[in-house]
Amino acid sequence: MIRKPLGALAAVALVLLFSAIPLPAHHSVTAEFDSSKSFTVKATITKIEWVNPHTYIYADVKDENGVVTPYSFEGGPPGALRRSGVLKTMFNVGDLVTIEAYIAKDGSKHLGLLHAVRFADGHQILFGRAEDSEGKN
Amino acid sequence: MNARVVSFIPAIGLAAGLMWLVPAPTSAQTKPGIDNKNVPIGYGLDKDQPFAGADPDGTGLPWKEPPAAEVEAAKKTPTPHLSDGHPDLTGFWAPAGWGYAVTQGGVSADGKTRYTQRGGEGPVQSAQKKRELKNRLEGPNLPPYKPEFVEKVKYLGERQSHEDPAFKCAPKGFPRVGPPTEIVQVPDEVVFLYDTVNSSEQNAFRIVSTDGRGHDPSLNPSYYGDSIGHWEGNTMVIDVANFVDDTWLSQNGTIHSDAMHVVEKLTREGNAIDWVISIEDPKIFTRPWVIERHLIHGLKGGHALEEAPCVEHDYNHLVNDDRN
Repeated sequence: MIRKPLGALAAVALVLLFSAIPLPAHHSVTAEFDSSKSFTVKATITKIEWVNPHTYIYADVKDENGVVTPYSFEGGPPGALRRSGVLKTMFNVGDLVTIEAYIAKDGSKHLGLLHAVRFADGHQILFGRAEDSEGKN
Repeated sequence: MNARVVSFIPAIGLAAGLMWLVPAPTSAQTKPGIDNKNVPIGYGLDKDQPFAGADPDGTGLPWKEPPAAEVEAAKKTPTPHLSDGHPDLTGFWAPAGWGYAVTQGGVSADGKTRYTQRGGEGPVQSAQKKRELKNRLEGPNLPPYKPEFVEKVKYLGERQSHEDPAFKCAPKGFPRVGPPTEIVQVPDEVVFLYDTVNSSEQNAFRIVSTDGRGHDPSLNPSYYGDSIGHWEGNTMVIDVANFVDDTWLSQNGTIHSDAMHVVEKLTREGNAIDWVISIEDPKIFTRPWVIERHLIHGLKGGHALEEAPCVEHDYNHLVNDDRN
């Protein structure tokens, strides 16, 4: 797993963009995740939960010794994701993907807020805006 | 090669990428026995534009109000009526509840990256967000609590992330669910259907009896209450009573008692509905709390209902009281 701080500029951009679209009926992201720090894992999707108030993707990460650790990744609400062009059917149990996620503030090591899901064929789904990601992906 | 891979062929580019989101109309047309010609797909108004006017009258509620010019333009079309002579409220109404924010996402020039096109949050709440939250608790049309309830409501509102029943997947109930998203009207009843986007609601609906009956004393108290409607001229007047007392009226800790009683009025003019609710609660309010919004008929044939169960995973990971 790689932990990396985002660039200062990117962090400022995120702050400025904050609250562009309010997502009511659930907690603030800032109460649970730190969008200035992300981690990246290669994982196999084991479960896709398309529920309110947040979608969840579960995935197993296998280390060099073959030890498997289950991870949980939070996404947006299903309705908001659909309006953003992201459907449940774009993910499949068994997909080997690279996931970049923001860390949980409570120190949970195997929990993250989805930032990007990169698939083996080279396509990716990025939970954010294109203009905030130029040069980073 | 699966469909997803095909959609990422670079030459197809952005347009094809956007089409990737929706069922191809041509394939739908081949379905036997169904005329799928010109069936609109999508949400909201034809323009698919979110209205900016959330909480225009300082209620602390996120229900949006369309621009006045849009409402006036919508009123200019003829008002449809049912054969019984009453205005027909049937249709898909927008913006309802939270309003709509349709981005359809974006696709990179090479077709390989899909973006949700939604801005993220910074690592801590911005000053702008903090101002918004403060304004939400200080608007000019907040619920008129008796003095002895003010501190409790403030406390609950500031600790919404931990105290809001809807955050733990309890129904928001009526009236917090807001104006109806879709209405189906027949001579003896009107059915209200509610958008569940971003919500803990699960296919929420209300059935409003309009056949002259009174409230049913055998019903248990409920999240949505017992709704009885009648016509006063061109206005549908609905009396809603028999509520449970554990819902909030907004996200601001706004409790109510089991004595809550709501009068809801809908007046259709052309393609607009004037929607007014008057929330009475003699145990904790000093006077009725009145809220008005205008609904505009949305995309013809559109539906906003989506099934999504509510499963709470986050509560044990919250590290502060930041609200959204």
